[in-house]
Amino acid sequence: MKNNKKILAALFVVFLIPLIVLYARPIFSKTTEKNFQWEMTKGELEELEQLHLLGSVESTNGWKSIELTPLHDSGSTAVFESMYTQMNPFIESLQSRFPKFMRGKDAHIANFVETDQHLLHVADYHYFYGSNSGVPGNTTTLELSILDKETNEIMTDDIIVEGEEGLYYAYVTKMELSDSLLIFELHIGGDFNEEIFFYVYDLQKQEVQTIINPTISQEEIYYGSESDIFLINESTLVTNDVIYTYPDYETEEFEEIQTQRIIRAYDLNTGETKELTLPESFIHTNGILYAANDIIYLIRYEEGNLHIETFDVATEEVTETNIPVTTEIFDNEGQYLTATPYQDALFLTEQVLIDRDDQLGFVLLDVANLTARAEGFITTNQELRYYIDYLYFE
Amino acid sequence: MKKTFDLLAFELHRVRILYPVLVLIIALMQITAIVDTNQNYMSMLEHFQITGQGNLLDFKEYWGPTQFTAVTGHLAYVYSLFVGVFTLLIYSVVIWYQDWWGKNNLSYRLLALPGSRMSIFFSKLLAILFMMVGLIAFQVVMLYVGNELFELISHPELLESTSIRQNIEYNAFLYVILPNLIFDFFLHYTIGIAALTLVFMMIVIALCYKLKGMFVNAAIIVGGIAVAVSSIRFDIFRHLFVQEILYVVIALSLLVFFLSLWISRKLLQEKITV
Repeated sequence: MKNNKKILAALFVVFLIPLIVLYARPIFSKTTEKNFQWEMTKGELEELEQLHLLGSVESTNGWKSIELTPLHDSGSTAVFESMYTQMNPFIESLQSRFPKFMRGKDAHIANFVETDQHLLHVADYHYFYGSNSGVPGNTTTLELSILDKETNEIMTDDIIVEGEEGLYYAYVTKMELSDSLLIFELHIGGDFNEEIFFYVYDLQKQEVQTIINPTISQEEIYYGSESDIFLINESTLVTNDVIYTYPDYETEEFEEIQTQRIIRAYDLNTGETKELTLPESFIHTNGILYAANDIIYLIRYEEGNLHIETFDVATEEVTETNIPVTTEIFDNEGQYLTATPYQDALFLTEQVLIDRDDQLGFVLLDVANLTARAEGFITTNQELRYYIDYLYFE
Repeated sequence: MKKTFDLLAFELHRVRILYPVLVLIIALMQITAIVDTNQNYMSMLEHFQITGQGNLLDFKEYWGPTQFTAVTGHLAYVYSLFVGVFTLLIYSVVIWYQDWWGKNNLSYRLLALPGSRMSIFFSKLLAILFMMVGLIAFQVVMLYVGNELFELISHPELLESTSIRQNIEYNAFLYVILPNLIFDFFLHYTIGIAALTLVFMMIVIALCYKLKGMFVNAAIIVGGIAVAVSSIRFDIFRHLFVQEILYVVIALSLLVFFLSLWISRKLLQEKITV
């Protein structure tokens, strides 16, 4: 019997060896240690001191949230690593910075919008089968929560949403905030179809100012178009929709999925569509679209230059400018790029850092004067993929 | 403690044939998956070349390289994991009833042994856990060995090596058994051990109260399902962050574990009969 116990103990130790090899090796290999360098080719690093790049880095233990700032070492906010706690880096950041506000709110990035003064959230609605109300009605309320980041005060309001009889869901897909207006795209699902609206909410009057019914077809909704929304002035909303055109399966001819860009403008006061006669290049060229102060910008990188086309909505004047830049920022024909307003400028950056031979280029573009205020790139010492998902500013 | 380990040795001695056979069956199924995946791939290549669709490089470009992830997604591989898990689950019940049912009087002797009767409980629990750890360790070894074997028999120009982590991630069931993160490993097995202890408690209840015990167990199952459904229906975790929900799950697992131990101890000391 004594020998049996010794054999069992030895067997148990043998059983543990493969498990220790599997789980302990990544801990001691230090491959998850992050190391990123910021290098400036123009301007000072201090100009970007309020910048936070939130992203994900692929490590041996899966994806991990990461925050890069120019003047501080990168770090992760995760207390412990678990597959079940991995979430959108922006939501993770919001939960760590504003835990009281975030408690009880769904972790959907689309439902939040943050400025340097406020954090806003609009809740979604989903009809729950078997609820006491029996069948879904034609109205529901969505809770709007506004956090004042300075005072930590939270204000809430109910936004009434009306649809057809049998309202099964109403969910927010994007939000935009100006000084006093909150605009959010709302998808409302009834018995047979889905509708998209832009709700314009006046934060000062605390009421819905306008409900815009955009000219988006059921087909566009069905095939899942993607869109950005811009406020180009206090009364005009511009949407940049990329429409997917699928091959005709009935003819059994294989075709590539085609994309088409549609830019539309809406009056925020009346909800009506505004005529917008854009140059062809805005519709058919890849690049970043941005709009502010009555001007729509199309920005792309071409052989050492930032090529910027502008369209003045008021005068319909078109200009073209080439800004020489030393940083190559446009990979993969304009894909994986992001542009974020930062201190009266636009921070343009690539979103993907593939490996240590790659550079994640960025340009701080002075939009008003069309000059590059700062340029540089981020490099890493590791063979890791890194994705910048979101940017926010202190 | 001595009694527990003596009984553990006794329990494991009982499976000295069955357990190696189980391990052998799993190994054979996984080797079959490796060979079959390679053969399927080579047949596809042959068909590709015979029908004039192109050469080896065209095939690789069209179908992609051959990877071990295809093996972990193979049906024989998936079934081999099910065989291991379900055999242990079934044996978790058999390990009790083989002493209580039939003509042998082993349960008399077990209950008559000097010392705490919880030794019976712990020895059976540890026996299952011992076998479980053995199967997990064997699975890790098979992942490394299988990967080497696959690379050995695969066409070198079509082969693309994958890491153990990638191979595990490709099979959702394997990922539950061997999660990539050590925290998740402890989380999964904390829940698993708590569930096993609960099953053992329910078996002890059934042994103590016979038909009435069955009703009690049915009530426990229905109650558990009702709590789970209600928690989803009323979204009771809505105000918790996901990390906090994990803490709650761990706390509930520990509660189930210790409560099951306490109830089992009471029943084994005061109620159980042969």
